[in-house]
Amino acid sequence: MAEAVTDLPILASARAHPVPGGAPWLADLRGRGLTAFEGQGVPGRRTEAWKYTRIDALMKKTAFVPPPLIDEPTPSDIPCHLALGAEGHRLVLVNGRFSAELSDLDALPRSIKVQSLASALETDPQAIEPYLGSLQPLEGYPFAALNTGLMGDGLVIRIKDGALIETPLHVISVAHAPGEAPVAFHPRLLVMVGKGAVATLLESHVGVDGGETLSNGVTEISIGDDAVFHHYKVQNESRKATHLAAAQVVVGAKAVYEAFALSFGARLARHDIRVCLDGEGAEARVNGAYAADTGQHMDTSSYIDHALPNGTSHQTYKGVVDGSGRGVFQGRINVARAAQGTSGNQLHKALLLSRKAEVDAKPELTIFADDVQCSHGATCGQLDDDHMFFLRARGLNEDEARGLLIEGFLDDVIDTVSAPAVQASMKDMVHAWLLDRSGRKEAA
Amino acid sequence: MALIEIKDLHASVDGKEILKGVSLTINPGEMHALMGPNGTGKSTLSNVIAGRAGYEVTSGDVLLEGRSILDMEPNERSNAGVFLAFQYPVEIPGVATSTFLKAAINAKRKFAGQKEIDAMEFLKLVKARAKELNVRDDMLKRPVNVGFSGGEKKRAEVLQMALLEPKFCILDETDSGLDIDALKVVSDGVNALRSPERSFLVITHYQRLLSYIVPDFVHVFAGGRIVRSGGKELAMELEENGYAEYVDAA
Repeated sequence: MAEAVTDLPILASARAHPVPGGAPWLADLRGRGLTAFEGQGVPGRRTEAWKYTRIDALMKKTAFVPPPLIDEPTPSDIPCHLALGAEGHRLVLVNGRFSAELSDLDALPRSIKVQSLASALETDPQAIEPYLGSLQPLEGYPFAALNTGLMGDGLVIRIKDGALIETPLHVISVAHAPGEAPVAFHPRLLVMVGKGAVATLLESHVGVDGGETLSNGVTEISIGDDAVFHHYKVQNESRKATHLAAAQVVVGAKAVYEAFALSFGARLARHDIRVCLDGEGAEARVNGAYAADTGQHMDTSSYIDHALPNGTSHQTYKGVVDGSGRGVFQGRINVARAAQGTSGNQLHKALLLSRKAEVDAKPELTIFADDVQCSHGATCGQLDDDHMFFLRARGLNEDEARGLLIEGFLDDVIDTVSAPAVQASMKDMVHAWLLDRSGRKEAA
Repeated sequence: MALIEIKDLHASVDGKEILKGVSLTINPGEMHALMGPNGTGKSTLSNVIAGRAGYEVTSGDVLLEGRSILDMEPNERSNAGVFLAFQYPVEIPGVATSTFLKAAINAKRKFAGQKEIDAMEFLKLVKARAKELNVRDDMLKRPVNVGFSGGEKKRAEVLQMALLEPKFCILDETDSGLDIDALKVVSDGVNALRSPERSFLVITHYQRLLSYIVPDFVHVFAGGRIVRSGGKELAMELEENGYAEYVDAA
């Protein structure tokens, strides 16, 4: 049973500041979102999908308010060093609101159409009505339901059939609570990739130092037949941030979805990703890496749904957990009766650097077809003594050897990223995180 | 002065004595071979000298240029000039060989009070040494030893040796798992590093390696200590007669 939500501060403030405007269908969708959230409540100890990730206390005690309209950061305020360093068309969201000033839409090729959700809802709501909310279920995803109830802005990205987009789109989402009050926002991304298109979406979630923030995003991505869509995300928010993200992806026949999520930031981060292989021969490569130190909780919950025949899915996640940090991996693979010839594998590997570090891994395979190759694995361990001795016998002191091995542990899975510039930038971020970590250790 | 002096060294693992009084003096420039049957403590000796955890030295000492190294950390021993070429080099996924080599070179430089190696200088140095050892450029980009053949792993070890320029090198069963061509490349690499200042202890089971790396002295190791010493002709004798008499005696 979830906790009752009647008195939840976030709802009280939402009622006081209703999201403006909207066609009747939109009001209806938002209404259903809020009702679904209220019906499910904030997940607590007894909610299976959230049993390792407790958020109820935070939600009850924190009086999140919608972000103020003023105090938009200027370009110099955006902590670019926390974002992916790869080249891309910049699309900046500040507390979930699209900032035309900080974004760079000029050089976009004609085969991509990018619009803020707010302007799409204002100018041509009918065009997105069939898509908005079409992939994101409300039941079982309480925070996505909340997002649906409160969404006001975000991005709508349409990539035309057959478009070959070389330069990635780069969404930079900035969380910023300039005042005393904790700020919550609910960005919504809608991405439609046309048949046979090839494109890359980068997401960098960063925070400006300040008060508490809650980013509660939902991303819906539909990938047309034969398309190839790369989706790389970095979550590097501040240690006062809570980052909740749900992604719903539908992959068409012979299309490829490649995703990588790298998380260092936030005190609590939950990344829900559900990929439906909804065409014959669809492929998903969904990988990630995270690091959690004292005061941090990183949760990845994935659900790969093989709906049709001959689909393949690969998942590898690696996490480094230090201090009293905590990592959670829940990986579900579902193979429908029709999905003969499915190949699905899943691996989660955690490196525990302290005795207080904790990792919970829960694989869940439900298979209804006969001709299926599925595997899952979870390991949890410490640095290898033989590796340590080898490096130390080559002159590295204990800290240097540990650092190199921790970095290698994460870099190993980052090697799966197929875009070289993104791969390099992610490795730089791991390196920076390690330097920062050793700095913190020395200070402690 | 002797480069290495091993003095009546006793060491045990989990309370069981493996080294039972090893004494050996190696002067600068000398090539010593340590031969003997498996399971008699040859690798234990190399691990104790390199400082691996899990070995307890109960008595005796190991001196490098007159100074005991037994209280030093493994990295301090390495930086002081001790190099162990591993029998089974470990694979380290995610750590590029070049990244590792740079870290090792810089560790030694830091120890010597020098500044870090410049990126260009590093590249030039590594490429030159790698070429001499037939180590291809793509091996440098790959993770340490991952997917390397047996011969490539051993060449990588010799490359590390060449870059770190140690004073004293222990080659622990370097010939194991090598075919004749790889053995020759590795031996040529080792021979190229021989100098009047640098000394070697080559641990091997077979005489084969010693026809490529010609030792000045050969020692027979059995029952946790050296039971006989001689010149290079001793290796030939062992090849003919085997170790049976020493095993029986020990």
